[in-house]
Amino acid sequence: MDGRVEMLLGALREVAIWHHERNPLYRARCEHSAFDPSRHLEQPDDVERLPYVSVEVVRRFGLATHAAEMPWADVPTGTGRTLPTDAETEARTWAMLAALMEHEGLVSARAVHHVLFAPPPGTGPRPAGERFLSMLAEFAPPGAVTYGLRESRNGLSIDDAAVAEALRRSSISGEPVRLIGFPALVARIARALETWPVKLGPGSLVLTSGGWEGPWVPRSRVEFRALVERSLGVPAGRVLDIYRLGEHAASFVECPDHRFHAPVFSRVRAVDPVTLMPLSEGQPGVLALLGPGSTAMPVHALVTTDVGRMVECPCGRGAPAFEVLGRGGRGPHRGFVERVLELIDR
Amino acid sequence: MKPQESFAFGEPLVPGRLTADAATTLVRQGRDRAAALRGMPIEKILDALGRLRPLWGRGGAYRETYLRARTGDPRGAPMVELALDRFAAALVPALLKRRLAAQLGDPACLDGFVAAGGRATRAEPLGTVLHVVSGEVFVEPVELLVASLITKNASMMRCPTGQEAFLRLFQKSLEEVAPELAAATAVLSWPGNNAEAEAAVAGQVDGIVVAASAGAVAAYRRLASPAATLLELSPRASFAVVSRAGLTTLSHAALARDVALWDQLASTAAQVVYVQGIAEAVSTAGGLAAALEELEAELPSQPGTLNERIEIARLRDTARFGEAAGAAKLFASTAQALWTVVYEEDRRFLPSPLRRSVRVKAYDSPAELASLLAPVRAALQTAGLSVSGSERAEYVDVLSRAGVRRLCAIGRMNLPAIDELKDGLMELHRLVRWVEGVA
Repeated sequence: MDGRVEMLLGALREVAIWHHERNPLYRARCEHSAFDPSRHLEQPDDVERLPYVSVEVVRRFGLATHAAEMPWADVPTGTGRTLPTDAETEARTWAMLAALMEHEGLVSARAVHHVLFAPPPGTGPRPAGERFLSMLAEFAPPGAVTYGLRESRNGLSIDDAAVAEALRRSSISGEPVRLIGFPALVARIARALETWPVKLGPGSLVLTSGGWEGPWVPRSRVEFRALVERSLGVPAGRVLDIYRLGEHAASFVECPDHRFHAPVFSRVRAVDPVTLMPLSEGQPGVLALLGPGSTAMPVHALVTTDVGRMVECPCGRGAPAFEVLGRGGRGPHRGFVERVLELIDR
Repeated sequence: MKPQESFAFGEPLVPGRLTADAATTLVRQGRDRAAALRGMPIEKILDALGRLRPLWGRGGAYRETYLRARTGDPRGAPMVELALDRFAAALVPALLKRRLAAQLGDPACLDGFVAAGGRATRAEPLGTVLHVVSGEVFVEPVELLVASLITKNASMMRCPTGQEAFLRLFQKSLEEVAPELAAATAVLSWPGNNAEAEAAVAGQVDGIVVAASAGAVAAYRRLASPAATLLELSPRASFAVVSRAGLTTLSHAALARDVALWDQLASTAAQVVYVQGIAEAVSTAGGLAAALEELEAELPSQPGTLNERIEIARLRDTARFGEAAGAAKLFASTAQALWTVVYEEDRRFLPSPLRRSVRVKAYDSPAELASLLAPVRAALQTAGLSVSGSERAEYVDVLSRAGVRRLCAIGRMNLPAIDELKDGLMELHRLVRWVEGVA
């Protein structure tokens, strides 16, 4: 057995057993599939037997594995829900991200101006998405930090003026900038600067993570990168997205050819949402993620509602490549579903 | 639809992007055609439509052409045949006349003033009517075209995606039996980003029928001229009710058809089944599941789109965990079929992901049922009932007040009779303008 495969298998077995022993709902899920992680994860192919948990279930039922020996906390998601986490999950999340950033050459010893679409650290618990964006700012020393969001009486508001000023200042001084935020907010500032573009210094980087919905977001990622290049002077190869779910510890960083790759400590598949059968390369399905990152929730085999497909990538990396095509589920033609749900929510 | 195959009011449609000027011309042409139809006796129109029946009945030339040309999943063929059977069966002049009579009184009012009780009334066509239909069930756009024709309106149909073949064949069959009726129809395609043409058409027609999403309804409300009549057929949800007493006569097979016909894409399909009593609800869920599995042999379900499959997976996954928590019970096809039945402790009315997925819930009393339906009052359509004779009046009263627009026996939910109202609306009544005269 390939050493890396053996390590992944061992890590998945360990985390599956952890949850099986401590989480009654997960244990019931395993029993429903006649799966016992202590006996059924011996060979590499056995990972295909791991019962998947859907992101829908995690969001609906919580599914926290509250271990007496592992202090845990609930992190707000910013959407009214909370996600459980613990020290081990945080450590693994960080370690996986750091390994990826190092591998992709995105760790810099040179100070940069961080422009971060997050509020300054405050007194309350930070939502999971904001925490992750702040983590991304750890991979280069901060020469300066500008926060693109601020707390106001009505909640968070976007500080367009501060961000625009920061970018202009940096474009004049030539210091590299790391602009970090949700794609919608990066697109917003890029659109605002389209008429009076700036040219950020060499070594500048745009890192996005989060949803691609919103009125400012161009129709495609290619258009998004072109917009950023026009407005901010950052070449497309330095405009990278990071795919992750708050429910799953692993992150996936775009390569310079703008595909995501499954690192050695993860497996990614595009599967049929009903049968969970893997689909052929190029065929759209929902993304199913395997990874041992979380001791707080049994999400080591997580099926998402994100539509994606496995693809070839010209970058030369050996790791399997995939594309994220967008959120799946209710489409506009399901008008009455939306209508009924809207009525229920009132 | 390939532009060169499009016909509008009897003339080939010039290929290319529909401009505001072209749209204005079309609306005017439509009014001329409506004026010609106005002079045609209603009996002649009904007879002409009746001549379509052999073309679309079993073995009919146009039916066979359509069946060969359709590109959908072959497993959907039996359902398509069933829909075509119903469509053809409705093209009987006597039935169309019955439909007109149910909503307009004497159909002769379409030809001239009809005297009654010292007064006389006449039904004038609106003129040119625009139809915007989502076409979830493929025959629906044509059924609305027929409604337009029997009220002597000219019709512009914005062709729903994927329905081009059927609409074009229908138009062609109409040309064969009644060119003057075909000349009163125009089937058009324009993409969503042709706001100019959309505004020009919607702002000038005399009537708009919107059988599409709530967003489309709202959009056309804004675009319509103040003088136009709007017939809004918003998306709705339907459900079945089985009382404890009604369990003795309940046919699971009939209930399965209330769920599964038209692959649950019609507003009349049951998305929720309320059963009186918890044990009774769980048992009914099991019976319904068995019936849905049996129905697969006669009417196989289709695979659905990726988004639909995602929603079905969502329902199944949450039901599985709900089962582990003791709050649900899941019955699901283990084969290629998609049918899914979930008994849920949660009694709230929630829509299903469709494609033969249904939520079964318990209730205790008609009063409780009313309170469960209250939040979704504005979106209700059909309630199928299996209740005892002595309970019927109470349930009918409660459900009528709860916002239901149609009540029927279980087994009939997806098979409304030709003269039943559409969404509780007299759609033919809305497609005419009444003129009152003196007898």
